Amino acid sequence: MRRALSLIAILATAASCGDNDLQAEIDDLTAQLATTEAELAQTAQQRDTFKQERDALAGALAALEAKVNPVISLEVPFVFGAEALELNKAYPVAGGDTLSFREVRYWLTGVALERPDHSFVDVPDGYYLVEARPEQPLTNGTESALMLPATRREAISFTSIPSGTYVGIRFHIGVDPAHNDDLSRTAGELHTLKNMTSDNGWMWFTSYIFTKTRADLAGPGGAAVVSWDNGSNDDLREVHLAFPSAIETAAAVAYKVRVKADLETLADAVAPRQRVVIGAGTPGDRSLLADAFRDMFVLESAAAVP
Amino acid sequence: MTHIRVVIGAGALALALVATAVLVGRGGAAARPPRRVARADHFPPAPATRSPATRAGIELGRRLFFDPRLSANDRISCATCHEPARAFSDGVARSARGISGATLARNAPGLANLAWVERLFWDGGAKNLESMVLGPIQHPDEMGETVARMIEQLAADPVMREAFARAFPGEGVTPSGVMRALAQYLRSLVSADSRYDRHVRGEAGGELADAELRGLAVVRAKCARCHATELFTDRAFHDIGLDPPSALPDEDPRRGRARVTFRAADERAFRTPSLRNLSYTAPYMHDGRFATLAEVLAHYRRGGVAGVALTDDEADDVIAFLRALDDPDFVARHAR
Ligand code: HEC
Ligand code: HEC
Repeated sequence: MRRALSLIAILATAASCGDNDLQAEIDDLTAQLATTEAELAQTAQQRDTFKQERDALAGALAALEAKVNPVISLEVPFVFGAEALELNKAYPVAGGDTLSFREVRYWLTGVALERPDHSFVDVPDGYYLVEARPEQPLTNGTESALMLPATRREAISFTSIPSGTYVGIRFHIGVDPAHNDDLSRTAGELHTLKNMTSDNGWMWFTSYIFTKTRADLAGPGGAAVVSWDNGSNDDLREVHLAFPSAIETAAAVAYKVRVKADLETLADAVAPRQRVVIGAGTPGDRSLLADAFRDMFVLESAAAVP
Repeated sequence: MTHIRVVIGAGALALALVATAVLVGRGGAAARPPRRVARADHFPPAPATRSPATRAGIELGRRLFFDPRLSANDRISCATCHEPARAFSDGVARSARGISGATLARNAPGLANLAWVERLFWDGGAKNLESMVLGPIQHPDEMGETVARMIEQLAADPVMREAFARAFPGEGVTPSGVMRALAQYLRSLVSADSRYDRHVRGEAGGELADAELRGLAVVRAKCARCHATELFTDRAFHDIGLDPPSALPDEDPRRGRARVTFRAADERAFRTPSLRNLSYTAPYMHDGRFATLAEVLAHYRRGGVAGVALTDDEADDVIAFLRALDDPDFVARHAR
């Protein structure tokens, strides 16, 4: 470390103090630099090897965890009132309108289970994209020929949390500031090629879209395409739900936590007729939308899978 | 001399990290007492970045910066609007060199000392260099490219694959790699070798004429409230009373910083630009409305919210001093 710094100091000195007597030193430093770069290349190779080893170990760890830890799945099905959500089906909403959803997506992150002492055990790298949507072109500013296949993803599962007694669950809707502020940072399922970064002026914020909803509104007030996005750091929300009764988890046993996401509650809270478009330019409505997403989750059950 | 200059100027931050990582345990280098660690050490401390720079990363970023495959028609590179010979600006008020030919909303600023900037763009809308990079690439009036197609093209080129492998071993050609490499290159654009800098460091070539010294005193007294520190910017946002606030006929005059913060106090405010390299970066202001420094000073002298009273002599001295902030080596070093 110390040597490294003094090399830099010397380089700096060489660069700053002027003229003729330096040529020899410069040649010397150039040679040193070449050695340094060769060493760097070697270090890079080692890093490669370490990375492969790390990945192999992570795989082995996951396999072991599945034996030692409980297998917990979190189901977050979209529903509209009492029914499972069907895309493009007209559901009645306030004011004699109907709303049919084309697409609903959000980042579910920071999953943690709550211990009886109200401390939390985090799922590492817990960044998941929950979605119900048809096939769509990958759009990044401009439409591309690449298609993202139709997806219905309403469950995640993890084996990283040790056996024990748990009384509740916590997760976030949106992406924490550290990752939201730097799109080059990858973790879990976070990625820029998921149509969750650049629509509707989001590039201005250079961050993720946290929730994205598209729907057709019809009724006495006429037809409109509802487009609701939010996603600045202020729009991050925490959902915290208590289990009906504590669960006692054991190694290699499967448990299911079922939390329904009721889009009827969401529609009631946001009122599509009053707010057809929510996006980068409507911070107040974005915040209201974030609250409505947080409040649409209802815990149904948390128990061992029979 | 040139070689060492490159190392220090373009890679001071980077080299520190690279060398620190690699040189542990190597002998023979510590013969002379250190004079200073980097050329830009009279600048305020740079904010921490998450992705450490490497020479290979900066080199990849430099390639990408000049690579037209980052645009949909494969003809526009970052350097189309950020020309090294103009200290990375483009010489027009508002560029129409993008893929659609439409005139952009803002003046393309020079790119230098970005490692010190935390809120990019005239209104500070972009949070960091990594993330902002996707902005111009995807913008329909700038490069109009999709990230997916860009990656496909780069990954098909063995030279690029090799450059990515050197910069980010084991990662392949990824959007995250493009973002990090360009950000590393942009952070390496350090301009700290103007006559004024040499003056501050007491080096040969740092002589300032009397008029320039008088101009420096005026700038310190009357401009440094905003054009602060050796960066000559407080990196904050101010309304300096430009009238009309925007050159765009249909732009909401409330824009400016308020576009991002939605606060009334930030309406019409833009980020204070540095006063370095102004000879290369005309025209001036967020919409390039002033062609010359004399016009800029005439604006301040008219009074108003950021008015500055200057005698004719003081104005001449200020302009003389501003020329001493040009860094011809920076411009020459980064030319291709
Ligand atoms: C068609 C012209 C054009 C192209 C191509 C272009 N830019 Fe820019 N650039 C601009 C304009 C205009 C701005 C000012 C935008 C604003 O502030 O709203 C800008 C601003 C920036 C800034 C912010 C500087 C600051 O001080 O805040 C950076 C960094 C930048 N560009 C880098 C790039 C990179 C990297 C590329 C290539 C991937 C690129 N630009 C391509 C026109 C262009
Ligand atoms: C209240 C803060 C403030 C003061 C005081 C101030 N400036 Fe500025 N200056 C700014 C801001 C903000 C901008 C950019 C405004 C815009 O584009 O809308 C700017 C722009 C400039 C530019 C254009 C630079 C470019 O790259 O486009 C120059 C030159 C300049 N100022 C010089 C001066 C000088 C010389 C003084 C003192 C006589 C001065 N300023 C005083 C805030 C200030």
